[in-house]
Amino acid sequence: MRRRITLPLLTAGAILASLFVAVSPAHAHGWVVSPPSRQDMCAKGRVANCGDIVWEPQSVEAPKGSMQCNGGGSRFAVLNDESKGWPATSVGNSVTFQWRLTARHRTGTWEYFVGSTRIAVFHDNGAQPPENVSHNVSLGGRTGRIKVLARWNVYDTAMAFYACVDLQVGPGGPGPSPTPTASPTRPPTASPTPTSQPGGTWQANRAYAVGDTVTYNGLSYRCIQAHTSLPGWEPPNTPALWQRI
Amino acid sequence: MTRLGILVTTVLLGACATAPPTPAPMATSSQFNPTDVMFLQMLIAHHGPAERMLEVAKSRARRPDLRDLAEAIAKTQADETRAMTDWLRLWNQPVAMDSNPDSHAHHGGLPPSYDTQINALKEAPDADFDRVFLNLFIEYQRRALELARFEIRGGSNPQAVELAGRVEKSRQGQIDLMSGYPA
Repeated sequence: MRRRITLPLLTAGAILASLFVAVSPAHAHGWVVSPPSRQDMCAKGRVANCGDIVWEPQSVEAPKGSMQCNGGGSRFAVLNDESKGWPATSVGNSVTFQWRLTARHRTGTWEYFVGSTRIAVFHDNGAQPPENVSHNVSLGGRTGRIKVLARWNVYDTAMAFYACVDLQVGPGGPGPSPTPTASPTRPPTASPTPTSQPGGTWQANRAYAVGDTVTYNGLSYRCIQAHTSLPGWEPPNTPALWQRI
Repeated sequence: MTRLGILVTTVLLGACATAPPTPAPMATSSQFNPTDVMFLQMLIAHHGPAERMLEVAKSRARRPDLRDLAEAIAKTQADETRAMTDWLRLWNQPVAMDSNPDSHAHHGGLPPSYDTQINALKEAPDADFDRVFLNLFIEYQRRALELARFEIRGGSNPQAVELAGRVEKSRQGQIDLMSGYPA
C-alpha cells in the first residue's frame, strides 16, 4: 500500500524538479557586487558554508515587500543568519552601490533600507536598466556597523531581488565613491573596534538581562525581558523583549 | 494535466517533502492563499496550549534561565498571535481553524488538546519538573517548525511567509537551547 503511494509521489517530485531545472536559467537576474553583498561574499568564497547561493548570487528573488536578506523565500535562508560573521566593508557616509544584472528586467524602483527606514529610492518607471547599475546613497550620518538591505523591484512582475550589504561606517572610511578593486582587501577577521554604543551589536545566543542595551541595524534597543537571544528574535521583531531607545 | 496538477499540489502541501522552490506567486501584502490562512489559523491554535504550558513553567521551573525562557516565549508568542489575528481579520478570514478534520488530513490532522500532558505537567513533582516540561515543550515546538515550513513552501503572502521564516528560526533556536539543558 505504502509503496503504491510512494511511486506517484516520487514521480511527481521528479517531474516538478525537472520543471524547475528547465525554468531556472531564464530566471537569472542580479545582485550587489560593490560593496560586496552577502551573496557576493558567498560566491567569492569570503564566507564559507553558504549552500547553493554560491552558484547563483543573482537569484535571490522573492515577492516584493520583504525586509529579509533572502526576501523571505524558502531558499538561501543563510543570508539572514546574523551569526554568520559577515565581513563589513568600511565606507564613509556616502556609498556607491553597484549592481550586476544578468537579466535586465524592466524596473520599477531600487530601494535601500537600514533597519525599517528607507534611506534611498530610485525610480526607473519601467525602463530597462543596463548591465551595471550604480546608485549613490547617503547613509544619513549613521556610524558603526550597519546592514543595508537593497531591493530591486521588477516593474512588470510581483517579484523583487534582494541583497544585504554589511558596512562599517566611519569618518575614516573611504571617500564618496569607493573603488573596491583599488583598495586593499581587509581581512574579514580584522573587524573594526566596536563603536561607543553601549552593549555592542545584538548577537544571537547571548544572555541579555533587563536594561541591557544593544544596537541592531544602526538602531538602539533596551532589553525589557531577560532572555537568551535567538535567531528569529532580532530586536525589531520582538517588541516584547526589546524596546527602541 | 489536471491529474498532474493535483499530484504536484499534493507534493507541495505534504509538509515534509523537500520540494524545490515554489514558483513565484503573484503577491502583494494584501494577497494571500489558502496555505497562508491555514498557517495563521493553525499557529494561533498552536499557541493556545503552549500558553498554558508556559504559564505553569513560569512559576514552577527550577532553573532561573528556563523560567526566563518560558516568560520570553510566552510574550513573543502573544505578540505573534496579535499580529496573526489582525491579518486574518484584515483578510476577512475566520481566526479559528476549520474544525473539519478532513481539511487538515494532509498535514497531520487537527492538533490534540494536550489536556492530559498539561495536567501531567501540573502534577509533576518539583524535583522532576524541568525534565517533564522540557520533554513536553521541545516536542511541542517541533510542531511549530512543521507549520512554519508548510507556510514557507506553500504560502504567498510576504508577511506571513516572513513570519514563518522567523518562527522556523526562533523555534529551532528554542529547541537547541532547551536540548542543551542538562536533564
